[in-house]
Amino acid sequence: MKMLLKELVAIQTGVYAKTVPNGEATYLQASMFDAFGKLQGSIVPNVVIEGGLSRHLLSESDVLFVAKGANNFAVEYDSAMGQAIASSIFLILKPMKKSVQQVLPAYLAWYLNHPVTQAQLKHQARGSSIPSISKKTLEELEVPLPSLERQQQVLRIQQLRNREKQIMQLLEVLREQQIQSQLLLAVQQ
Amino acid sequence: MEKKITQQEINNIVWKACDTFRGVIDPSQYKDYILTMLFLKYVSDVHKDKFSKYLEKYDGDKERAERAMRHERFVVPEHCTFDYLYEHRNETNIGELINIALNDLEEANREKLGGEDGSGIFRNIDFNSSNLGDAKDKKTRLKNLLTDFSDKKLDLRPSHLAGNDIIGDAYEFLIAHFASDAGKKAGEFYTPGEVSTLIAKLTKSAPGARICDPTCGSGSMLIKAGREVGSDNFSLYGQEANGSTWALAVMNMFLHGFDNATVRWGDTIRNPKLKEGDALMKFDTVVANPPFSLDKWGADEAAADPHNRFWRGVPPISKGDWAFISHMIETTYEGRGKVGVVVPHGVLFRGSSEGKIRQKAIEENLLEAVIGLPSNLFFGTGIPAAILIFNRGKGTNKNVLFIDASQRYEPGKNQNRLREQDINAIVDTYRRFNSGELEAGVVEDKFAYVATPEELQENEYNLNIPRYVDTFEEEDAIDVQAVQQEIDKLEDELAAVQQEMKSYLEELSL
Repeated sequence: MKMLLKELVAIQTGVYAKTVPNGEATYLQASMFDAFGKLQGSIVPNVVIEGGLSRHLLSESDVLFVAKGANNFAVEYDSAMGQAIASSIFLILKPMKKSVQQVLPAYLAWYLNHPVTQAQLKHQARGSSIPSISKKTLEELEVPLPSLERQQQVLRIQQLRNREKQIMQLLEVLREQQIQSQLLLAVQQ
Repeated sequence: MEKKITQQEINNIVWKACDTFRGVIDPSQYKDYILTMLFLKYVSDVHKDKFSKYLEKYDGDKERAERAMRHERFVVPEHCTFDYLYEHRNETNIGELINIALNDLEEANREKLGGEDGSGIFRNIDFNSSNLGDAKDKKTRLKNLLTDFSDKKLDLRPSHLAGNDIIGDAYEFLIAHFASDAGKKAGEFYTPGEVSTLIAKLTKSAPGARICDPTCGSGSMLIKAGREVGSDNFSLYGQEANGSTWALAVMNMFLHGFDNATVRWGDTIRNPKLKEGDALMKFDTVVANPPFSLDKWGADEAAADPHNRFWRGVPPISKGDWAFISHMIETTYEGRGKVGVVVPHGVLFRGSSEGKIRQKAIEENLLEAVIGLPSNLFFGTGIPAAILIFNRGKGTNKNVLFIDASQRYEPGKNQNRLREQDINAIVDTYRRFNSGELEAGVVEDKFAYVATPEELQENEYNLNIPRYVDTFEEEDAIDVQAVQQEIDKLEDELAAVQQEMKSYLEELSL
């Protein structure tokens, strides 16, 4: 089964907020995520929630998509990130009530991050200096919808694949260290 | 009770007033207009305040009040007040009126506002200059300026201010802001507040001290050094080569209430003005941030210097650093005077004539401390600077303290900043050394070191800080076994992950 993204989620754009040294919520920006879509380092609350901003607080199962710039990726928001507001670089995908039984937010993020989807979206990006993917483009994206069980399986394998990549990177670094220090020892003796 | 004006408010108003001039003339020029106007406003407001007090005292007898005013700090003739000028803001010759007002104000207070040799502090400023635009533009601009300063909130009567230093600090706020705007073109560097504070604390003067800054700029370091005394019992002396900066320094002193400060205009090296009779005046404390490696500082005249300040040697023509240092050392009291000077790092290690002067100064046991500062502290230049402390009363202690503070700062957007704890760390270490507590050798790893004269000699009197304070970070030796274990562990995990993935994938391909 395939569905258009707009039938599954409501898409909003992120907002601009002024940051302050001591805030209540975190102002999420694209640069805060690493290559695996994990938040980097410690997050500091840096916006004060006042006025209309409270409407823009992210909720569990929202999916963030970086719509502007060369590096488009999607991450699932989870409450471990603390109260947060997404900057205007993001499009926010909020799953509709009726689609809860059909799609997992993490699956959506995975599908958006898939190289084929990425290529398809990039192709439709507009803008000369900063390519950006419009809300409309995203809404018209077709998403294949297997059973929830199958979605789980896909995610599980993706997770294992990520872990595999991480381990391989670590091994590479350690291997380099090991060999270099052994060589140095060999010539110093 | 009416609300007192705060530092923030006053800063905002004066900064806003600058908009009147922005775009039309250079910040380096319009700063003089703004600062002069602020001074005029201050003098007028103080005058008004006093006058109303006297009127009250003498039951409204105007004549008596006026007579009493003649003995006040400033004599302000009626047509020199800000209010008078504000009333006449619509006149076509307002520029001229302001000029006349300034001129007469200077005339009426010749002793205070006039320079020693007939040059007044308003000499450099012309409100009727065609720099301000054509006749019509000029008129509107000046009117705007007067209107900006007539802001009800900008009431500078002492009774209205939350503290004494507010007006002086607003003045310095402007100077600092302008320094970051202009400054660098002229090769002049406004000393950032934290560096002035550090020098003031390091050279802390005792009550009764005579304090001098031979290249005082707008005078902020001098003021900080004065405040460090902790009482009102001190006297300030300064000299500045740049005419309009000198005028700022004079006004700055008045705005901070240091009416007795002596600030002279002239080139310190070629024409030292602070003299007693024919000899150079001597001071307890001499602080300065002289221009870094000044070219054409006056080497040609130095050999025949009537005060014989350069007997240790004449510095090279193109680098005046040691000329200023020599001047500073020569103008401190023998046996007790202290010198604190900001220098570029080259001063610590350059050879030839500078090397010889340095060697002599060290052999005389004058040098007390060398402190390396973080880079990017100054407006308009990124180079790291150092502070040298000379002490003519070192007595039997022949060691020299080295401090490497180059890593102790708070990074900023354009500039780095010394924090209070950084300043305190430096000052504490110095005080401990000064009181003889510190033995030769490492005091604090990667931060402070006490060198003996023998070590200095071994290093050929090169004071380059890394020679003494070792900041080399040794890379940890890699534990081959631990790495191997880590690799084994990861490889096991990798195998497990791959195995798991395989089974899931099999499940998928039904």
